[in-house]
Amino acid sequence: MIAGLRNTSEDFMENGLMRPYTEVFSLICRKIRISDSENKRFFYFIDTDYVMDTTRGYRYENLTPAYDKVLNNGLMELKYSDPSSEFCRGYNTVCDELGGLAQRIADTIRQRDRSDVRVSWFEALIEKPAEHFCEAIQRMLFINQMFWQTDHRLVGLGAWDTFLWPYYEKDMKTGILSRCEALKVLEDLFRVLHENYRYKSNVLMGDTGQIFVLGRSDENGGYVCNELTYLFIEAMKNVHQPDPKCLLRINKNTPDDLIGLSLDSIATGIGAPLFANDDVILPCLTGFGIPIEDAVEYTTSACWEPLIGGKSSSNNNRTPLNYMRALDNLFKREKLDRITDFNALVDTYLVYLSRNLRAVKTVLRNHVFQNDILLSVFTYGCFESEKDVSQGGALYGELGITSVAMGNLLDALFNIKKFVFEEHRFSLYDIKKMIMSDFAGNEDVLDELREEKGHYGTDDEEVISLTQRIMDHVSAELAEYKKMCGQRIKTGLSGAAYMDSARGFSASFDGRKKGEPFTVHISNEDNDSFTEVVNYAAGLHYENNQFNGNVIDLMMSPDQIISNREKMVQFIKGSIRAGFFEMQMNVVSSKTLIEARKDPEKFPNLIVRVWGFSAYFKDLPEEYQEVLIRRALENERKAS
Amino acid sequence: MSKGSILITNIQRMCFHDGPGIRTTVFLKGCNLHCPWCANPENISVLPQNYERNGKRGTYGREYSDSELLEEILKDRNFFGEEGGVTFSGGEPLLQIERLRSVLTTLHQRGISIAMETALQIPYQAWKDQADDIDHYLIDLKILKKDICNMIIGGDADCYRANVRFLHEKGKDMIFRIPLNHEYTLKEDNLCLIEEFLEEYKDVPVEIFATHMLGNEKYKSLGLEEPVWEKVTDTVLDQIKERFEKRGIRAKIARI
Ligand code: SF4
Repeated sequence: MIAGLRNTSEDFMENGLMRPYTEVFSLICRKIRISDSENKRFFYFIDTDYVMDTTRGYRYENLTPAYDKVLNNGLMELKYSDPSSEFCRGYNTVCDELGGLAQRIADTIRQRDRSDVRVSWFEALIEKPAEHFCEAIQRMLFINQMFWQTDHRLVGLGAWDTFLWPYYEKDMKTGILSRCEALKVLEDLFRVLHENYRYKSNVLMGDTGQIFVLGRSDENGGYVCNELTYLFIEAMKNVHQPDPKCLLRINKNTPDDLIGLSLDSIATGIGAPLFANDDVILPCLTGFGIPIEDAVEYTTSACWEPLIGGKSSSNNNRTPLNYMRALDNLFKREKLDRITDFNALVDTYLVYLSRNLRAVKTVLRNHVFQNDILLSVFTYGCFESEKDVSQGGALYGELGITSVAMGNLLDALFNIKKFVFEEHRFSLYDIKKMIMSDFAGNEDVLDELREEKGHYGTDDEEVISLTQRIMDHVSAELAEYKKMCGQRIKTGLSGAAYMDSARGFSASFDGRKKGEPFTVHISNEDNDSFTEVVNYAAGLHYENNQFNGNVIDLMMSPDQIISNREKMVQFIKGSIRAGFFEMQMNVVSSKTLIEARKDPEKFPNLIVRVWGFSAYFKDLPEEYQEVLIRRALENERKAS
Repeated sequence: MSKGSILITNIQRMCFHDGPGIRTTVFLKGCNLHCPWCANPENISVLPQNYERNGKRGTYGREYSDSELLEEILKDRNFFGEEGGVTFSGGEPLLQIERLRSVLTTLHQRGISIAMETALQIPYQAWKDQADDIDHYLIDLKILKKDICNMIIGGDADCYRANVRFLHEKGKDMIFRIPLNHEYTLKEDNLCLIEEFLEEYKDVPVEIFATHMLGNEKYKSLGLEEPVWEKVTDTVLDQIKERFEKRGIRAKIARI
């Protein structure tokens, strides 16, 4: 099976037309093949031959359902007592069908083994609240599997350390559970969620969006974590799979030992947890109008884009904005002799950027979302408003775009500044020729450009303020969008498309040849120290609508972390004080990568980070392998 | 040279090995010694020097004003935390102590930890006024035999001993760092002198490391002959550590 392949059934069609949502959902609950997971602790399965067809419109993805709804309630308790509208009736049908499926599962398990404790878990799920730790996990897994079964992709997991805490505490008190046993349970949870790895992968193997968001701030900036926060990270580290992964929310009050444990986990090569800095993110969310009591519950869309877990139907990854496109268009279309200084170049660039943004906005306007009752059941706001998520039922719902190539753009602009306006070595026409001809005959200039130190990701005031100026321009243009469509739109400096958007894209004056990949997130391999890129990211402000994921991507060798563990803890704490937004670390040595490319058999379990997820190195297309090797080599130069 | 201009070859941020915490290390140009194993030959001359490296030309040494230097150091202030800070290295940082005066005072007032990585062979009378601004002293311990010290590195062992005593009496935080090479510092008579010396300062931690050739590219870039050293193996380092420990001297091996 290739990544992401799913089969739908003829049953879902009637006279060549798709049956309504509730009918398809009922068929699924009644007819999917029930099978136990390979890991026997939890019952979990996806029938990949009977997946909901979601081609009727745009599908919701990259969201975190409100798993907690089935902890305090049985499924029947979620229903409307007096369903007055079509939405309410559909909503009740979905709950009923889920209950029916839970009963089918309970019966199946009973037939195999009457004494299996899971029989009672599934039966209780129908009408009663959860009682115990494992039972609570089983419930959330059931909801999670149904999201996959109905062809949602990149299904987030969210704050399970918070949700599970009361059950853990209670079972510990009554002696049913020990810390050691709980760790084993969580290891099994990671294994179960990893079982349908290929099916769950989206574009690339490993891109599943399964992310636990651990730890959190309280409303006053205090830090809240519990024993489970630690246990989730330990379990992830012990199981050592690329997926699911954890993101740890941190703030200046996060305990050192939790950061230390996270670094131990990162150093094993799994590249997780990722870090998100609440001290910066929460003010962005509240500034956007989200009340603090909800803001503190944020999770992320698959990787980076903050959203309020269980309360939001935000589409944060609608489309990528390619920052290089406008500069490329400028060179192709503009009368270049009109541009006589660097300021004029930037001004003209912004004009072209606005045109690009208009195209982005048009794409967004044309997105019509299909109704999604399962998601409506598991998103706060829909029940209360009696509206489907597609009708704006969720408490929060905005649009978001990602971005690529800010790094290439800045480096290109600063190179042009130096070569054209300061040293007068070339005219803008010369540069245009070089870009169009892919530097043919100007290989020496290309070499020189590649030797130039990167500007993007340095803590130079001029670089930071130019980045901010461009970001602010985008921000203001996007703010206009609300007038067009009523929905707000967010932007950020992270994006997965650094490879895809670069394919076939002309050369650029940052020293990039045609088709070569763009820079990754906020990164700079030319930096002499990691503090520089952190200061750069911390120097930017992300308020208004600019918080849609802004991740620093660091490349480190395992040794850099292991032999300097305490100082690395200080580095993370320093980064929090400096004010970074998000951070991920790709921990790998170039030597291992090069060997693994030559001899994949020898490294079947080598895990690397790609954009927001981890994957097995052997599963990656060659071009991604190349980028990782190049970045690792550049980083090691820094460490030597 | 105008007042306040500080000659610097390099400023390295996020250093983990130049004192406590995360530090920014400032390499000051100019040294009063000439150790044959010096890993920073570009920091010996007190004047800027041109070099050529892989076909590229450049200059070692650039003058910083007080404010430029402060700005560069303060960039990483968020990372210093309670322990980290700035380390002045070189070359011999004490040579420029006068020019550093205002920078040191400002950093000290702002509560930023200051370390000096020094060979400590400049009479303390010349730098004692600033001694209290400095929180940590990372002190080279090389050759203690008076005539050999003078002959090989151009140093003054008596001055060194007096300086160490001066700092120790002040109760300053110190660490000794011993570069080990078979050609000079590992000679038996030198080792005995080092042991005797360290016995007087048992409360001061000791770090030993093998002389390395990481600086050889720089020798080449200056058109100088590259020094070659007999390899000091891990076994030798372990033996020395053990030998010191038998005499109650706390030694740690720093592997580079
Ligand atoms: S004291 Fe240090 S900088 Fe000076 S010559 Fe000796 S090793 Fe080199």
